[in-house]
Amino acid sequence: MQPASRPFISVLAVGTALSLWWIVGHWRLADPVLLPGPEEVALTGYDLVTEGYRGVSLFGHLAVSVARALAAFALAVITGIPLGIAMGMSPTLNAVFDPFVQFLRPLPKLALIPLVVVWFGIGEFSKVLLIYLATFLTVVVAATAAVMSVPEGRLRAARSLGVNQLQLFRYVILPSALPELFTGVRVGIGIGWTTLIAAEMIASTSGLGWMVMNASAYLRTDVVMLGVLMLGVTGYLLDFGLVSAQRRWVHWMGKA
Amino acid sequence: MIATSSPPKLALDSVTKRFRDSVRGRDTLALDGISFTIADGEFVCLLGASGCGKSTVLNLVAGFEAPTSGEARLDGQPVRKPGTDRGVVFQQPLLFPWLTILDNVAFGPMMNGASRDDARRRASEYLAFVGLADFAKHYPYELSGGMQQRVSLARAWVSHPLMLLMDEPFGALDAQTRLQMQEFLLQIWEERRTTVLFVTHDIDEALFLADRIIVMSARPGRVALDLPLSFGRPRRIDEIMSDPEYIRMKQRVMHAIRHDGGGDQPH
Repeated sequence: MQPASRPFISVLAVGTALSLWWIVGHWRLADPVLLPGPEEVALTGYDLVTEGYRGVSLFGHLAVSVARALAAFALAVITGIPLGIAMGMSPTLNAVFDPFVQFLRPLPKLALIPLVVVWFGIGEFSKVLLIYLATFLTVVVAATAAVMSVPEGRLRAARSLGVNQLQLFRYVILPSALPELFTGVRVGIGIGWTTLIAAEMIASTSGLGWMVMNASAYLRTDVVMLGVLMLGVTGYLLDFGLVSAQRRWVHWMGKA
Repeated sequence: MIATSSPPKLALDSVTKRFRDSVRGRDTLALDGISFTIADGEFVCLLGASGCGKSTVLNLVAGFEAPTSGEARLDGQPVRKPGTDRGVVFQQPLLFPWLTILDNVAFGPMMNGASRDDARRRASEYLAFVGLADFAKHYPYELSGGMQQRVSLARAWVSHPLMLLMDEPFGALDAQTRLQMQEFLLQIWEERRTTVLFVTHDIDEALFLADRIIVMSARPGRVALDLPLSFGRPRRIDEIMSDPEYIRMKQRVMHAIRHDGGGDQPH
């Protein structure tokens, strides 16, 4: 396959899926309550932009969700990378924190909602906390692995060039770990974004996740589909942004 | 042929190394009382089959590992940790992929207090010395394996080490490139005459490069043969390979490797 034909094939595949959806909707091949067509979803989208959903405009919902997620991601990266790096460098710290990380990480974050609500209430903090936890745990594990996988030979080469411990960390271990750190943050943010719905199940009145849950209760499948599309596209754009940053800052990744 | 009056550059004094074998739960004797000296400006090849501990010797001299007993002394000072007084070239180039070729070579001087401009100026000089001045702004992944190894050589040499330690530096290259690199190394070494300890399992490589070959026996590693070579310099590969002395030397070395130290005993 020619490298240039890849995006073309992808566009064709997405176009085909959209066309099928349009055909089903336009010719009423399925009950519109179960599967509203793209025209209806687009009309609903126009309505929600102009009229809003339950008092908040569509972009308002989007902004609320993105703000919650970005706050959680920022905290997760700021705290998770240093802890992960520390765990990668120090077997003692690793032994202390690893059991907790490994216990919490596979836990479905939905199961934590009752505890989080009892402990921290139903405010913004609890919502951000849930997204944060999901992202943070993934970032910690990835950062630990990133530091531990720095090749021994590269460390030896640096030592023979006369670096001290601090220089070794700053100028060799950190840049060596950077590609994997980036991948860890990408995976963590992907997982964090999927936690959004769970987070917005906690007594919300806005946000894309809340909008989807609320609309489903009233059988507003068109709003649900619109919300799902926007959740998906936003997640895709977040990842696209990170991939672009990764290409720019970790240009050697996969080449050395 | 080694002036006995001048003190050796490197001395290994009854160096023994045991490794903990975690599988069998007992110790393995890797090196058993290794002693030899290298004179200033001498090019010595440490030759042996894989697993004989020749890389362990180099790691001890580099300061990556500590001997169980005995010591390695550089200019009379016991080796305790890695340092810029010993430049190391590994089997893999091990360049830093996030740095340009120039900054890879400038890395050592910069870490040791040189200003960025000064470090880069010295790095350019050594890049020119290994014939890669035109590639200063490239990244390692844009260079071939042989070129990367030349950068690695410049990086080890730029800090003016007392000696160069080379651990099968051309072992990962194809035969054609390997020969080019050997000729290239000799050519620049003859200008600088830095003391070299060169580890290899390739007899022809050792015969072509070295002033002296130290053959190691395997498990435990011991010095099986210490053989000075009389080929003149500068050397040409086609000239020494047709020298009858070359065949005799090669036979002695092969014999020593096969018979684990029998090189000096009648058979």
